[in-house]
Amino acid sequence: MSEDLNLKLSQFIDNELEHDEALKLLNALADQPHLQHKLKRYEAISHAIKSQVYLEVKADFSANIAQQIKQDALPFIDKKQSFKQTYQWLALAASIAIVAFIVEQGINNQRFNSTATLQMAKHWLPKDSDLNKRIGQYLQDHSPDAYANGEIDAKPYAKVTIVNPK
Amino acid sequence: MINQSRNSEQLDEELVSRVQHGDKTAFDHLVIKYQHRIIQLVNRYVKDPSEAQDVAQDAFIKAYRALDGFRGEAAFYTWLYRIATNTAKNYLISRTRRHSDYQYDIQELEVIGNSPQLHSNDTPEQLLLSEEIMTTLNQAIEDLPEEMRVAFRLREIEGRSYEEIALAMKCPVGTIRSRLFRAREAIDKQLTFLLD
Repeated sequence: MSEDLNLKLSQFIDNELEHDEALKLLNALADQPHLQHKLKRYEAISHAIKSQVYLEVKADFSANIAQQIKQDALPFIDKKQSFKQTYQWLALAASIAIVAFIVEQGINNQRFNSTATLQMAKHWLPKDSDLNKRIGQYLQDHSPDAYANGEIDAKPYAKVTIVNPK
Repeated sequence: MINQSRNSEQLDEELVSRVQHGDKTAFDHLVIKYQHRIIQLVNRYVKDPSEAQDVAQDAFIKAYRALDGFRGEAAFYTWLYRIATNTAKNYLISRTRRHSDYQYDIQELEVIGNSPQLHSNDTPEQLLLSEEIMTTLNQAIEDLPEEMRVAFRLREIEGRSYEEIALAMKCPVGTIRSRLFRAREAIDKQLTFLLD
């Protein structure tokens, strides 16, 4: 079994292993330190023949890298998750904004109707009556609409509340 | 016939894709596949095998962190090679700032990268060990049976594929595969005696 794997290592460093076999071998290498050692030795020999310099990879080389990147958040996956989270917050904010708009419109409509009712009442009452003056003062003080010379100058608007996810 | 470089690229593409989908083990595979080549490359610049390994580790980590931006326009190894080269050069520049005996400018760094090792930072003991290793290695090759020695040299020095060697030596590819493996095992045995 070991000799078979060593033979595959020999083919692997020559790029002569089929894709699937290479993948299987890499999986085996991950779990077998002695196999990794053998690979490093074969590579060192191969390099030394060409360069006359013997250079063997340290035993913990790949483990050190694995340790470092383990502490890293997966940059690509976390970006996707972060986008999803941001998207969720935006969706929530938009929902709240829509609800706030609808509620505000409801309140405005009620206010407008109240205003209209009071306007009608004001219209029916004698202009110099005390009640008429009081209604007029009330309308001026409490209506969101702009008044000009005691008369309504309605400019409908919507108040939208945005929730800051932060 | 296995197309060597296409086979290798396909494997890299698959591993890179896996990493980009969250499989960190796939990056371990890429490290194992290219660790020696990257260390060799970096060593051409830093001239110190121990430092070269540290710098090479940095290069791999940088590559991992930049992998989400890799779109496959170049082959993975080509891209990794560039990162390693830049990491080595940056390391030399920062070393220059720390030690006045190493003075490099950018143009010199290019020359250093392309030239064989002219200088070494090895201690005398390390140099002696290196010599001994090379002597043992060369002797081990000379001691190989002829068919193994020829196959080994055609592969390692001339870079021939198994099929080309099989054609040259008039034997099946399987025989070449076996000869190369046995040659490596024989040399490894001699080196183990010296190193381990």
